[in-house]
Amino acid sequence: MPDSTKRLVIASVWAVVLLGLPLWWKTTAVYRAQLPFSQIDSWAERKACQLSFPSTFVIHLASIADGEPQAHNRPLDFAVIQETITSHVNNRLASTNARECVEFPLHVNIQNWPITSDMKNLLHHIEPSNSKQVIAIADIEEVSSAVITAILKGERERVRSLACDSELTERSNLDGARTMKFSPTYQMTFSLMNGNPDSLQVDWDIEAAVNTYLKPFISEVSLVSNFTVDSQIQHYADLAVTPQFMERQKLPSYYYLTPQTLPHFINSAEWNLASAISSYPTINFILYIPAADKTPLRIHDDKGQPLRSNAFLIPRWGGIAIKNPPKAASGKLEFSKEDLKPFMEIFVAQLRGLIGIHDLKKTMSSLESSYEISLAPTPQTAVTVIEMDAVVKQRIAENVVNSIATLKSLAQLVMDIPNMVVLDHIRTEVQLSLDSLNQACQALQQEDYLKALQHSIHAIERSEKAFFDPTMVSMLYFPDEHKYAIYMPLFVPVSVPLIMAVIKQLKEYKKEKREQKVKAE
Amino acid sequence: MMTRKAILIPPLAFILRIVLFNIPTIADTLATRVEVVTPITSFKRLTEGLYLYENSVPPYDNGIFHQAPFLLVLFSALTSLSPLAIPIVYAGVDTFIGYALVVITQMKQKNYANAPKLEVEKEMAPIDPWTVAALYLFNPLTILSCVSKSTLIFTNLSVVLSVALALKGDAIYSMFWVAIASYLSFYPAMLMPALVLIISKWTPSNNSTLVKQARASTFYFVAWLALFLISSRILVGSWDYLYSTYGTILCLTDLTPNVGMFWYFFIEMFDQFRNFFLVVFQLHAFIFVAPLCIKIREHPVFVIIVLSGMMSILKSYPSVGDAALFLGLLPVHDELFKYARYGFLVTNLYLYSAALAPIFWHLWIYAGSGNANFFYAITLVYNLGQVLLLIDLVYAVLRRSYDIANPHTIGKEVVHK
Repeated sequence: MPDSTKRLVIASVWAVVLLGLPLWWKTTAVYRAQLPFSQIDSWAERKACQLSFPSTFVIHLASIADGEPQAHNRPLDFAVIQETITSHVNNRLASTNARECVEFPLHVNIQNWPITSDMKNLLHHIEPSNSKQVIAIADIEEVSSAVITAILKGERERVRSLACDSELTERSNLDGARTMKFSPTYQMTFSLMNGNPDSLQVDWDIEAAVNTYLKPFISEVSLVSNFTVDSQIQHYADLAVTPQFMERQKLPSYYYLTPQTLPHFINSAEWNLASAISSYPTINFILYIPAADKTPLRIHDDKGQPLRSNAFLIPRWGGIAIKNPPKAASGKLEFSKEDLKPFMEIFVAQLRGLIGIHDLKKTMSSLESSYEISLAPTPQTAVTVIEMDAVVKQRIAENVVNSIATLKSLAQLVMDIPNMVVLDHIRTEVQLSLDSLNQACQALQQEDYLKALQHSIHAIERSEKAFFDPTMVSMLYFPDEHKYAIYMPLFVPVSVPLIMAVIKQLKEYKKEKREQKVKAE
Repeated sequence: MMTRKAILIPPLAFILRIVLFNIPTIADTLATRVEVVTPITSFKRLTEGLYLYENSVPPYDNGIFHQAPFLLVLFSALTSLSPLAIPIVYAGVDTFIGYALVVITQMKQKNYANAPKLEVEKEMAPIDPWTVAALYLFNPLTILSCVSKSTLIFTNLSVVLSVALALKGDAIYSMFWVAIASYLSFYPAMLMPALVLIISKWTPSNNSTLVKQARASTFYFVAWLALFLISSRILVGSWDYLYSTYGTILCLTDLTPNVGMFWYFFIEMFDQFRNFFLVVFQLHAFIFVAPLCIKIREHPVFVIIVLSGMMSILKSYPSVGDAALFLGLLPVHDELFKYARYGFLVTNLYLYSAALAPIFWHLWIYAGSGNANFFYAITLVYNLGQVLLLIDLVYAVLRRSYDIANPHTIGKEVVHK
């Protein structure tokens, strides 16, 4: 009787243990969704789709101006001119690198353009400097290829370096270092910092100023990224650096900051600039009013001369302008919309740099050309169509390359850690990202840059969503040997008595059997 | 049968509770103490769910309220009565638990009257049932748990009533109360087999073979439970409450610290193994039911006591209220006390943890000079005390049975080979 009780007890405990076994199997199974590794690899090796950034130029050629005497009656052979221009440009922009990972197909399309009188004012955009009435064919070719080269040079170089070079060279590039990392939305914060509100109260009409001076620009670049704008006024904004004093004979003396001290200008300990409103990258613009005992405050350049703009840019962070309050001002200083105009001009110029718009004029002037090229100004938006085009191309290249790199790292991570759980939604995101890459690439080949940009944004967003998923952290996973350390502390002490009890019962059972046999005999 | 002194016990206990309820600093402090209230018994959370319920918002949508729908109905009725209703109900229920313990003790003593006894026990009178009640009613843990308005008190009431009714042989209502207890806090379901043992052992009836009784009782239990679950579904309008109540108990979605072993372990556990260890821990709580029911089937009330002790250690959200029930039931088997070896140690462990738990909690949460390990270490000490007490009790019951069967071994060391 006591024996059967003992056996029942042991059996009941073992029953629960055995019931636990399938649950063990079920709860520790590592679920791994199959990721499209081969597709990711082919993208990483740039085999999946040839990136190409085609450009088409339409040259409107006024063959016969009305009323003008015709010097040459020979009709212009457009096809020949097109070919010549294309080869000229390609020669000038040919990459020194033998292995080209991006294609830049160029289409030049010449159209006959009868000039009517109302178009005459447009003509001066590209105007030969020697002001001949009749343009020779050679001139047409020369002028056009010079213009096209000037337009394409900077943007091609940047796209090529983004797409082909490793990250290292990109970092060394000064332009790249200045531009913010791409994000579909940025948060823009305008801060009015008052050094000492005891002597001077400040206020500004920033909303009107933003609406008037910044809105047109923002709506133009919203094609690439959106912006949320907010503003704040901070009082008692002390400087973290002590400006130096410059005493001058006859002229009023002033305080100044040297370029070496500018990186420490932001008092990040005390100025509360980090925003908790959103998780978007923040671009800060600060209008700084120095305290009365530090006025006037100026910024010196490398050569020790005060800067006229009294403003500077911090790469990948934002821009700062310093406004010295007028001597007479006391009590309250209010910035109206008009007062803010010069500062908004500075901020817009800084913003252009921060979001990666490159001045075309600079590239143009660097080119040796016997022609003077002037660009039509942009009165409202502060960004030309050509500049916008360059930004779009650059961002597409950046997004495509970055999402490929992210996917590649993800694949690497998953392959390195065989215990890592890969959930279905990770696979979905990866697949969607690859699809978007594919669509972006196809859109590029069709020269549909807007579509390509949208798809490239989707690609980078999805790849980052997959990569930064909370379940995809390598720290959560560990090699198989560590599992012993997880199971042993609990299960070894528990299993020893369980197993010993079973062995003991088996022995007794055998003994009983033997005794029964002996008895029977 | 009540002695003159005993007559004072229930009113005193009742008045003591009412007085404590009317000292706001005590009642309000207790209502937030992690040792006393848990996420699944907190009155504060119940108030939140009640507010939503009375404003026709699904009460389980807030992710704070994890208690059974019946409590919503009960408290919805109580709050509409008068502000005094709730303290009176709590104090009354606790006093009534004390009375139920008296009934349990009387029934047990009647049933054991003709059971084999040790020589020494023959001259000794068994414990006065009202002493058992007093030990429950004036146990500080019981008072703390009651004044904190922890809804665990209703589970404890149901458990005690189910035991009392089982001793009276009323299978249907015993199963009713154990089903209520299981419905309210899940774990008391493990008491069901032991109750079946009680009913079949001491109730002379025509179908009293164990198998028949077990079949009938299981049917009653399942039927009652199904009835409660379905009527709850009708009350709150969706099955979501199942996940919010039992899901929280089983999956430990709320990691608020308590006196148990779960919270710290699952804060530290690797995500990958969380599910596995949840299964292990929950099975662990239930693994003792069958062996105890088989091995100690001659003393089913004792099995209930041991299992309630197991619950107060191994459930996912234990509080001192669980220990109060365990310690309250303990004196029912007073004849075991003389076999207890660790009485001094266990008492000290209880006192030690009672003194240090609030201090370490303060150091961790308010002073910031301690960390979670401090508080967890104290809960380990507390549970060590309870485990030692359980081991001691099981030893006592086995040794006593052995001594009755083999009187010549009394006082000698028995070596188990």
